[in-house]
Amino acid sequence: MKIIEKTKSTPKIIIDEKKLSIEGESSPENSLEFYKPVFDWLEEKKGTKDSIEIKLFFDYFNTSTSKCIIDILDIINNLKKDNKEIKFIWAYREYDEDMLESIKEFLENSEFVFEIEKV
Amino acid sequence: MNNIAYDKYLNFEDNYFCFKGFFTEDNIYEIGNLIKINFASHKNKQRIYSVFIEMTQNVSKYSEEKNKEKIGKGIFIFKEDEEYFYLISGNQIKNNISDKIENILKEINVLDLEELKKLYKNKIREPYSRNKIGANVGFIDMSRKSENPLSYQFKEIDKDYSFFSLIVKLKKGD
Repeated sequence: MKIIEKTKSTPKIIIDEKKLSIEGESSPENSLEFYKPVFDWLEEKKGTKDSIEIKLFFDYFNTSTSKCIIDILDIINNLKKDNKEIKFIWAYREYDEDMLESIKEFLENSEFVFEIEKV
Repeated sequence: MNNIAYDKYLNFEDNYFCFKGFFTEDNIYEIGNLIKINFASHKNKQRIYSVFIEMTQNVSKYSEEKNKEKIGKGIFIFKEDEEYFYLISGNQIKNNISDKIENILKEINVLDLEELKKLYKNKIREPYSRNKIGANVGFIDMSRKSENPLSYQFKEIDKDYSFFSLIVKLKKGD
């Protein structure tokens, strides 16, 4: 298991064999570099039979992070096409209506089953 | 603003706040925390914070005045009146990109929320680039959060540089 602890501008990331969790605030200026371990993990999952579980829970994310989220969702879509079993949860804080709206917007064209969880 | 020392920020007083200096990650984090604390119970706190981050990261990246670590210098002001919160940033830019910025802002300002959403979705799908156009998505995002046109001003400093200021207003609501 790999744990990337949260910093002032980046969330905590837990990467396990079959599980990925991202939780916290994400406002790095170079998000592509920060999320590299996540992309690497998703890459490893291509062509394997493993079922995977992904959980996102952001307090805030900047537009630089948005680009990474879009890419992550695209990869998950592709994994789904390979018949991979995927559990996907995106959580948000109860009071954060804007976050809920943007989660819906991001997931609009998703071809995998997802859960939106109010915390 | 000239009497405010660089790299020094003031606490919120009568809900007025001003910072002038380098927008390092630490400075942005600390001012961001002040905003979070000050507006902890306000329903617009997420929007204020979000506009603040996009705005100050733009200054940090795109200001022409930079320190050795390539961190941009500029100014950030927060103020309010009865109806609106105002988030204001200012930084130096090269004269030859002011037209480009103005065109982007003009383009954004005529769009309604639905059109902005579409434009945002298209822009975040564009390949990563290191050029100045990166600020685009930030402007669109701020405009969506603001739900008001973005105000801006360019003041020529000399033959090479201008001072660019951006004003984002957020309706206070009930």
